[in-house]
Amino acid sequence: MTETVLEIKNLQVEYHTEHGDVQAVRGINYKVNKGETVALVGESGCGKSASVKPIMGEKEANQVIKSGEINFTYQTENGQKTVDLLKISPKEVQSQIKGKEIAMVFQDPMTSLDPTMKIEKQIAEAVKASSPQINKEQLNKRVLELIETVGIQNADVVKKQYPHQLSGGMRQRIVIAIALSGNPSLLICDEPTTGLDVTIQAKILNLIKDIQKSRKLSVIFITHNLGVVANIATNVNVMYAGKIVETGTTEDIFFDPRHPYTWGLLESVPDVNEAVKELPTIAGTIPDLTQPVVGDAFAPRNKYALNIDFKEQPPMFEVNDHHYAATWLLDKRAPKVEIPTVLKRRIEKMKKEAEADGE
Amino acid sequence: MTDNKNNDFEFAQNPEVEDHYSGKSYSYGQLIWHRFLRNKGAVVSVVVLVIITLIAFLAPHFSQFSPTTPYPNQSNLAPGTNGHWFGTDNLGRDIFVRVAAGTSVSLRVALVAMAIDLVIGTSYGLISGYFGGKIDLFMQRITEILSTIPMIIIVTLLVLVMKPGLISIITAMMIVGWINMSRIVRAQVLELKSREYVLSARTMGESNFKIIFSQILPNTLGQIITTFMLSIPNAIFLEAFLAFIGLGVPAPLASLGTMINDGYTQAIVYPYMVFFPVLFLALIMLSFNIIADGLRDAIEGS
Amino acid sequence: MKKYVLKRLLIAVVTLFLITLILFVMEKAMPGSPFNDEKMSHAQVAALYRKYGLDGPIWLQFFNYLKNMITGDFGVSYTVQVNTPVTTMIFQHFKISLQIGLQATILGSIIGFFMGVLAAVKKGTIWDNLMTGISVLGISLPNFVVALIISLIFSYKLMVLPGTYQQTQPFVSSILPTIALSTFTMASIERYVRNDMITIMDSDYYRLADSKGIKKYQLIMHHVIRNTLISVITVLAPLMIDLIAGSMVIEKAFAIPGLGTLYISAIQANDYNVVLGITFFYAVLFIGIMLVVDILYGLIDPRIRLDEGE
Repeated sequence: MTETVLEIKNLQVEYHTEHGDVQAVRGINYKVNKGETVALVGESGCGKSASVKPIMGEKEANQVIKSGEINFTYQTENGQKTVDLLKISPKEVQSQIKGKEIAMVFQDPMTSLDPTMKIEKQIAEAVKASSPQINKEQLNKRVLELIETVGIQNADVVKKQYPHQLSGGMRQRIVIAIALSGNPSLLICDEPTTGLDVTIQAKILNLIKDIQKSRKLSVIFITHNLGVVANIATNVNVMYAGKIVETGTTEDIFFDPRHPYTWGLLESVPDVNEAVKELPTIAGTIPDLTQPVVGDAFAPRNKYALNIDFKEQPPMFEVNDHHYAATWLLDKRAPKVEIPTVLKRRIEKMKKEAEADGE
Repeated sequence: MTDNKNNDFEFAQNPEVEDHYSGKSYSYGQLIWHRFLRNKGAVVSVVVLVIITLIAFLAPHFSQFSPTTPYPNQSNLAPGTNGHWFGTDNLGRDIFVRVAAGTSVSLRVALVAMAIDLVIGTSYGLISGYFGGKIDLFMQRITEILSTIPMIIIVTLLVLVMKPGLISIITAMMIVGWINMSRIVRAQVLELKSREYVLSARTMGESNFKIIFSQILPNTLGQIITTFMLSIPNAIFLEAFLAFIGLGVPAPLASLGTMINDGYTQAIVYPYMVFFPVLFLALIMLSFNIIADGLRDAIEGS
Repeated sequence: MKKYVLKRLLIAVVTLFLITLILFVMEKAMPGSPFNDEKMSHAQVAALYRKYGLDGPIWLQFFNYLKNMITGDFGVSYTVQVNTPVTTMIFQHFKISLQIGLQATILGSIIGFFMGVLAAVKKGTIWDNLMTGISVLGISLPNFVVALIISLIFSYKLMVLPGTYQQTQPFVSSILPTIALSTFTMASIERYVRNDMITIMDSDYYRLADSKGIKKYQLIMHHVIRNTLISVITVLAPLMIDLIAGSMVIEKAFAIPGLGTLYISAIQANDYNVVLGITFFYAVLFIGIMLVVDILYGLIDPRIRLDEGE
């Protein structure tokens, strides 16, 4: 039986700006089950980060949550408890949820640690927040443990250092150690490898994956790069203009993508084995969300756009019971459209590799 | 709602997928202007400054009274008597006209000094930042040393060698007033220099001079204006400061600083003699500061 | 860090040397000579020139001048306090200036700091607007205007505090000058602290610290205020220098016999030795303050302190 840890229902988030009200998140729904990694993928500005900020109770002055529920289920001493994170008080979020049940790994490791505070203190602070009774000796032990958990060898040297003395990869490991310090059940990773070089990216991804497995964590993984997701996610939600346009298991999205936007994202993932002359990108820019969107927000950039795409918003068409996509191409009446051939070839290759791995 | 015409499920005619941005697009200048207009304090300050400037430059011409000629039999009149709106001082001179004339002196000092500052500061910063390397290093050392010499030392020494008055104040500001400006411009240039459009202009073989004026200068304008606006109250302040310690413009010329200095000792008996120059000085200083703040916020986009 | 201190020291020395050179040139360029007493004959003046080494080659004169300056021998006063050594005069007057200057710095920094914290924490509320309003006023109003206003209120209307300095009541009569002198420092610190705190509260590391679930109070104290306290040091030096300039005005407004008053009367009386002596003293003071503050900042901020490994 799968246990749902987080369920987001019809979340709508708006930002008031000087150009008008930006509808950053336009009604999204998804679930995160225990031990699963759910990826949110899309270009920057598609509402990925805006959709997770409310989970952490991060409230910006110009941000308004128009509607929705964020139901979070966690274990307390008195058994299981489910709360709507949008309903409980900020104080409760601060004292019960943040750092203890839900923790976060941020985008830029170069700036996400306090520049004037020693590493050990920054970790200790997080440990103390979740277990205030801890004594000094235990605290020290716990800090060292945490530094070692994230794969840092010389923990007792590192703990005495300041962030600027560490490399980007090391800093991100420390950020992960801080996230783990309260033994959370849900980890939100917001572009955790952006800004790191490729070899370090892979190491950090593996670290997150290992930790997720060994601790049976649930993870929400935000990225603009579908390629990063393949090895780590169980489920993938592709977001465009504040909406989820395709959702499915990782196999669904990688081997049987249906939305033209997902095709575009997949095409733009660099393939290390293939000598590509030019990496295809999705033409155009994301729409202006201060204006009401008519039809499919992606239509103006869509090579396969139908007339109806400019008139009516496509519903989520079911591909199978865990794979849905919001594109009129899946309607019975729509002309048959083949996946771009380059992508098709790639998928065939990936499938073979996956089979080979499975043996 | 949707009329299900038969062509709904045909491919749309605009698959020429192009950059599509339906939003209202503002130019950078318009954006700053819009933000600035939303700042009520700043807009009010602009109005106040315009009014004060008009008074300063028009009143001495249209008033029946002279700002400098004494009328001993008309001395120490309270505001409102005999057509003297702000009263008269101890030599019988109309305070309103004197305040207007003093304001115009203060404003002129500020503007002349700042114009010089703008030219020196901007070109220094542009040259230092754009050419970089040894030129930059050398020029930076000079500003580093100059900036450790405090303004008042330079001013007092100048006043000592030259005579108290407008020229020594303006000269002093020419010596050190531009350092802040040059630093800001330099920092901006260093940042802009690495941007693509400047790099491409360089590879296209455009001359340094042309790149500076067509590519770099327009982009640093926002910062320059803000710094400029903030330097004006500094200049007025310096003039008033010198006047107050007795090194201001020589009599019978009046600046706001000298009037405050003259009225100070009689503030208990004739408070209006010091009140009006103080009011004008405070309004000018406040307005320039609020406008500069508003501009900075508009440029930084907070 | 060593390199950093060395660099700052070197700049300080070069600057002081340059200032001395300027002062020397100025003394040479001054209208008249120090001995232009009409009663003296040419022979007497020439004898005096010889006595003070003023007839030697120019480089030797400068060398002598430099030596005198460094050893604190600025000569004697000609007009203000005839024949009193300038050094003695400077220290007599500086004591009062120092007292009021320090009081104003401490008062202005502390109040300005708390105002800034309040404005930043309550950003966008009436508190923020109030604090920002006060600080704009404080920056805009020259401190002699502030001096005038507060002495009219507290000294003439309410008659609770003396409006002029009295040597018999050195502290009570320094209250109004201290307040008048501190307004600019207070307003500047308020602005700096508010802006710095808001920048920090917008930073990634604030978000991370917040995500730990620590108490709001702890978050503000440990991550925002602590970092602001470190960087506020950088504005302290220029503010103290502004404050010394301001002290000339305040001393005049409250009739305080401080160094500023002495400086002004020396300038007005063309007492060159006193003017040049005080100028040199101020220069040393300014450069010293900047040097100390810069090094202090380097010691406190780990990003600079630990930078020598590279």
